[in-house]
Amino acid sequence: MTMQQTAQPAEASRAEKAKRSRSRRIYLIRKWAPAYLLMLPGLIYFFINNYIPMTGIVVAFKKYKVNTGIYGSPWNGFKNFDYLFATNDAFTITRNTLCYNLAFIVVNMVLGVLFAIFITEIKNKYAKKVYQSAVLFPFLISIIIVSYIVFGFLSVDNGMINKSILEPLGLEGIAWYTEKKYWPFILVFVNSWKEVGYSCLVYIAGITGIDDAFYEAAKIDGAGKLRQIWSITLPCLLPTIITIVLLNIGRVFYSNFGLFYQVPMNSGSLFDVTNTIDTYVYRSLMKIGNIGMASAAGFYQSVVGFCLVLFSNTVVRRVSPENALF
Amino acid sequence: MKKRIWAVLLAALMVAAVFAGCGSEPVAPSEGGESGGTAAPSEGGSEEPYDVTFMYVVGSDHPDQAKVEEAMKALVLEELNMNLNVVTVPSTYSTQLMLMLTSGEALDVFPMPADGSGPLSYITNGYIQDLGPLLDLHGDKVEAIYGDESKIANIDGFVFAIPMNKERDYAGGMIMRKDILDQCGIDVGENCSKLTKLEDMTAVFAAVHEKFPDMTVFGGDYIFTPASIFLGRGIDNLGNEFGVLLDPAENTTVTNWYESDEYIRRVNLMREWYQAGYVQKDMATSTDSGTTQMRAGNLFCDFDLTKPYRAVEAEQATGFPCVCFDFDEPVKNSCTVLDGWSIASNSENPEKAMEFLNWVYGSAEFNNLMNWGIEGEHFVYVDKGNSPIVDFPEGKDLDSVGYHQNRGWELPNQYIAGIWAGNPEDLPDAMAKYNKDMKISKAYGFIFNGADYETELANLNSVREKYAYALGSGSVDPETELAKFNAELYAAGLQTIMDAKQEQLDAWLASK
Repeated sequence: MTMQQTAQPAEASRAEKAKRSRSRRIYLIRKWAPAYLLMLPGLIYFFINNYIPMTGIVVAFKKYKVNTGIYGSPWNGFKNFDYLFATNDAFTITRNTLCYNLAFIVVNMVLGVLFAIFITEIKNKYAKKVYQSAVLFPFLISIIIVSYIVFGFLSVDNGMINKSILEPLGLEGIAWYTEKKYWPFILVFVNSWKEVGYSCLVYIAGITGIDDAFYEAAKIDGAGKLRQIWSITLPCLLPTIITIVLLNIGRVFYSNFGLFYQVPMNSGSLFDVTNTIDTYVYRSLMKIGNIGMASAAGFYQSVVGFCLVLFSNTVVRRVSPENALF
Repeated sequence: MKKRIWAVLLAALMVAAVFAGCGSEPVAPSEGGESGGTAAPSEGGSEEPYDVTFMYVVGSDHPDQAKVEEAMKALVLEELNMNLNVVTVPSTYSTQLMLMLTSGEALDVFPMPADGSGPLSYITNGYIQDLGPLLDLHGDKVEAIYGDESKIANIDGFVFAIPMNKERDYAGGMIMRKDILDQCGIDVGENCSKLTKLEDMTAVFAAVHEKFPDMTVFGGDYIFTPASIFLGRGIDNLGNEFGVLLDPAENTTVTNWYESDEYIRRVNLMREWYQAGYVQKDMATSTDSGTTQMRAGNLFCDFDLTKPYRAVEAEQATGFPCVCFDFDEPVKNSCTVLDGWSIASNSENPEKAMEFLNWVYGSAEFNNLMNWGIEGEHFVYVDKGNSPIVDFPEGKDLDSVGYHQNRGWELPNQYIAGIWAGNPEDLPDAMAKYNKDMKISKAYGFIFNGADYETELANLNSVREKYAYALGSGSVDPETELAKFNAELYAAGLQTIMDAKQEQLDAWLASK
């Protein structure tokens, strides 16, 4: 056999293969084109609404003037960022923002899962609905109203804690809005009270999705309630928990402005424990109104948040690859 | 196959729908402008009316708002040949205004908010027009009121606003309920003449506290205490808190207010009152104004900015007979011109906008419309022609009348309009005399240009927020906190600001 003879069928088969793959590609395109077409409006929306405005991020590096516009204003280098790091407050606000958010993530996760398990274990259908709504209710209240509910408890002159609990017990009333040592607990408590209902709802959905067969099998094997929760509910819920935690980590440099500004009633004596990046920026720029400086803070927060998401996702991928987001 | 065709069609339809939303029709350019005269002239070649957009503050919504706006429009069209668009905003409107200015919405004339970021940011962000050259064109009515002080509201020559016609210093005063004083048998004398200094209040507070132990003796909004307030106080702020003239009529050395004897005296006094139980315990965080609390009936005294006949105003607002102890000596300075009427850079024709604004300063009818509504329907002149006093029409009161603002201090020119019954007839004269007789700061007309110091100013603002109100309400101990306050101020760059202020002020004084 000569070389030519062997090459002939190979070439033919290659041509055949190419032809087949081409027709397969056409087949695939025809099959999925409607789906892509359906996706198009969403993509366009995303591009217009979420990606084009991102170019506005340059405003953080500009000496912005309205009448010359974002792109026409002169560059300002990193000068807009100076005020964030100029004083000792830089440490305080970064510490507060990070520590509070980490505390919120942990506490809300533990309480959310706990409440979700409690609620799904309730057999009475109506009671279940009532509890579920009751837990969610605070989430729907405006933070301004929450701040006045808190004020109702903590007001020095007329507050419930001072007037109805401490003073009848013969204890001295506490000037809550000037004593900083209580506030880390008050803020974590208020935040959990308000937010836990929402994460609870997500976890309830997760638990409802677990196949009943697991529980039936466990029952036959003689596993008790706690054993079932530990060995079935929690492992099945783990992907949901990880997703929620990862999403929250991305926002770890943002703080709930209302919680840190309204709930402590903007009390100066509490700033050491209530000042976060958002409130600091608000207080600094209220009287200055510099858009470039405000954008610089937003830029800083989103870049750090983005890095943290990448980092924590890498950690998750190392530990359990199937639970990573990407 | 049929199914797939449907899917493609449906998807195409959705895509089309998306784009349908984008292609809005081009907005017709608003007619008018300097070219004018393009439309067929209806009356002997008259110019087409310019659309002037005018923003003003309404305290609360009134059923006849639309009717009043119609009357305003008719008046402006008749006297100025302009189409008036009215934008009304609530009393805290700086955010709303900011959105309008940044998004390029139509806006010509607006009041610069006192609670906003201050004129400097409006200038550096390019929100407003320089009124200087415009005032030279159309400024006769403004000049008739202010004379050579028409351009007083300027930074480095950029005239950012025309001041409201009102008092030219925010001196502080203690407003007390007269009925409580009488019940306690305290005689403060005519116009509080028996009280001479702030310390004299201690004895009054003590007596009231003893007789009415459940009453809050001193309270109000957290900014309004003799020590927290950042206006008035007989000093000149030079545009912001940081670095002030302590004796502005005599001395032009920039000093730190928060280290001054006067500030320490006030802070210590507040602490003394707080510890004696006179001050509302939550004062550092309270946002209910003293007026509101006094009207509710459980407050004896609050601190507020004063002017002639302030007690009469307090009486109308609270429903209790009041007296006012003016303890600050007023000094004419620039802090009262930081808010005023400005022209947006969005204005299509600033000259026309200025023409309108100038006209407003001279139009009694327009100021009346803004404040009291339509004559005959919402208010009447008690003795027209002889007296400026106005009152509700027969059978109407505050609840049944369709429009009533009573926000004279926000009008361009409140003294040209009707004076509400209960006020003395000579109020405009008394105010003019008050403004004329007060001492004048050597820096009157100078406002610090902090455009290059925004980092320092941002940090100083947040330090001020942290300490000023806690100290000013007496809720923390000045012994320890005052030193920390000043240390943090210097760390945030106070000295830099003070030096820059001194330099600019000296240059300004030399150029005068």
